[in-house]
Formats: sequence, C-alpha cells, structure tokens
Amino acid sequence: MNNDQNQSNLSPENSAHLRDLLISRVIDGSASPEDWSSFRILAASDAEVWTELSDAQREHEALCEVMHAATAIADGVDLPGGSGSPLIFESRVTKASRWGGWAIAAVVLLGWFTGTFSMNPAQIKTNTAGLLPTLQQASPDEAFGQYLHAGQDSGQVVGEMPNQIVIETLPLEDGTIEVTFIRQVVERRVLDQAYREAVDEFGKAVVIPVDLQSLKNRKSQ
Amino acid sequence: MSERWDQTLPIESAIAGHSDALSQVWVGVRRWVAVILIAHKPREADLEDLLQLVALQVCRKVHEVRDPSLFKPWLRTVTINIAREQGRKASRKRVGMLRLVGRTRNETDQIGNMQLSEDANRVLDAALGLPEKYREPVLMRCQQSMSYKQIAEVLSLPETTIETRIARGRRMLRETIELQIKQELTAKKEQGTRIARVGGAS
Repeated sequence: MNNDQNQSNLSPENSAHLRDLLISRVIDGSASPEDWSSFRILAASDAEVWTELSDAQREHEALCEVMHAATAIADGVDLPGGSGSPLIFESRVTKASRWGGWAIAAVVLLGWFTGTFSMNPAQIKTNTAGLLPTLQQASPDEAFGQYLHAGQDSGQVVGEMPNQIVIETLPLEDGTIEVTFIRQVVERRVLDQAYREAVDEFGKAVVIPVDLQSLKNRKSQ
Repeated sequence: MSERWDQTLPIESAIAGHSDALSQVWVGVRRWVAVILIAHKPREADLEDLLQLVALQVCRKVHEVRDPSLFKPWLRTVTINIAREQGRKASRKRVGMLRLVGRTRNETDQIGNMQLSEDANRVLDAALGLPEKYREPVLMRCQQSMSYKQIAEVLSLPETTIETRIARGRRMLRETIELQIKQELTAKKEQGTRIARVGGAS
C-alpha cells in the first residue's frame, strides 16, 4: 500500500492528528524522508497545509524569541550565597526575620526623634525659621529642612509624608541600632511628557509614553 | 560550562551535599526552570524573583530527594508550587522599594525589559492560554537544547505523548491566533463603518 492510499484510509481524527504531527516535525527539523513524502502527498490534495506550516513556523519562532529572553534572565540567577555556600544565605534570611520585629518599633522612634513629620508648611517654617545656616555648613537634617522650605516657597514641594518607612533595622555591637528608612516628600512638577508604568510578560516594570492629548480628552469628558 | 541540558549533570553528588556539584546542576537546569515558571506564574510576577526562590528551595531541600532519577520531576514540582503560591506575592513591592531608595537591579533587568515583537507578544498570550498539559511542552520545545526525550523526562511522560501534545498544542495555538486576528479585523471594520457613518451624518 503506498502513502497516498494510507492517507485516504485514515479516519478524519487520525488524519488531523497526522497532519499536526507532520507540521510539528517539519518545524522541529525532525521530519524523516517518509514524513516529507507524506507531507507532499497531503499538500497535493490540500494546499492549505502550506499556509498552516508557514503560520506554525512563524509562531514557533516568535515563541522562541520570548524563551530566548527568559533564558537570558535565568542565566543571571545563581544559587544563593555564590557557589556552594547556601548556609550563608540561610543565616542572612534567619537574621533578617529575627530582627524584622524592630521595624514597627522603629517607626514610632523615628517619629519621636526627627520631629519633622508634617504636611503643613507653616510648621516646617517655624522649625527652620531664624538663623538658617548656609547649605555647606548645614547638617543633613538642616539641609533637608531648607530644601522643604525652599521647595514649598517655589511650589515644587507639597509636603513631607508623616509616616517613614523602615527598610532595615540592625542592632550594632556597641548596643545602638542602625535604622535604614525612607522619608517621603510629595513634590509637584509640570511636565510636557509623561510616562506610565506597565508590566511586561516577565512581570518586569516597563515605562510607556502617555498620549497627553487623549488624557486631556478623557479628563474633559 | 555548557548550558545545554546535560545527562551527565552530577545530580547524585548535588543531593549528597557537594556544593560545586549543586551549582553545576543549577546551571544545567535553570533555563528550563525559567520556562516552567513562565508557563505557570501569574503574568505580573517577576521571573527573576521566582527563579531566586526556586534556587533557594533547591539549596534547602535537594538533600531530601531520595533517587537522582526523580530530581527533575521533583524540581518541576517545586518550581510549579513556587510559581503558583509565591507568584502572586512576588516582589513588585521590592521593585518599587528599590526604585525609591535609588538602587538599581542587575543587568538582567535590561533583558527582561526587552521589547518583544508584536508577534512574540501575541503568540505568548495565546501560548499562556493553552491548557496546562499542552502549554509546558510547547514552551519547553522552544529551548533548542531540549529534545522530546528530555521534555518527557521532566514531565514524567512517554516521549510519544510529548510529541502528540506539542503537535496538538501548536495547532491550538494556530487556531487561537487565527481567531484573534479575525476578531481584530472585524472590530476594525466595524469601527471604520461607525466612523464613516458619523462622518456621513455631519
């Protein structure tokens, strides 16, 4: 029995399955001479199979493009702690979780010590009024106060958020505590171009230009 | 070191606790771990973060694998669990935090941010919409170093089943994309007709 007869004897389900397999093997470069022969016979009776092959090939290549990017990300991820020292990483994780509880207390402490939690420009002005040192002589806190003051005068600074975010709390050998935290300042700017954040297929943040005209139209609706 | 899937990976030594062997095994498998993560993670989850979680879990638990031949299926299960359970919580917050404190992430971010072609985005969407049993082998086959046999080994299935699933998965992918394109064309046509009507009315 030749290939032609074989094809015509197949049930529709088997015929569809064979078609899928042949296309797939051609894409993978694993088609045998017999597969090619079957494919040509199939194509002789149904030329549509060439379109299907070309679409499948293009889709496979597009997927490979994505996987290539994923591979590049994977190549940058090594085992934690460098080669063969997972215990170091373990101890870091344990240490971090042990001192995590300090974060809550530290928020309260920071609020008490820094005393600059305010959205009210008047309060900042009061605190910094009087003899303002020049920026070069100023301590970081004084310089920061001057920045807030000047920013509010120019309209660039709206205020500082009352809550500060603690990133890390480390007890030091001398009995003190090192706290790393974020102070949040609300600023205002006038821009001629804006971007919005989006997430790509790998969950990475990407920026996309915003069409200001359509934004304006939407606001006016 | 070769990045190809390697049958000679020192899995037994890695399980026995040899750290260099474990590193070598990780280098040999991390690419397909990435593929499995993509197949199972929520879209918004960060691939690199999830890879790191898998790496950590490998370090912590690899000694629990009883038989080296079960290592790959075990790693697949670990990876899927992390993609599903940790994925939703994955550190978008961390990305935001790093940005706030002015730190940047490593070079791989640039690759992750690479703009994919329209075709690639469309096909990826369609591939992620495939039923699970087709999705994984179709994506894995895009790793040039993975043969049907190697995919079968990871998925603990016969090679013929893998070939059938890849072939069917590709057909389903084709049909989904064809349908999408048709729907987009119809929508564009309808929009064009509406604009023409509005233009005619004014």
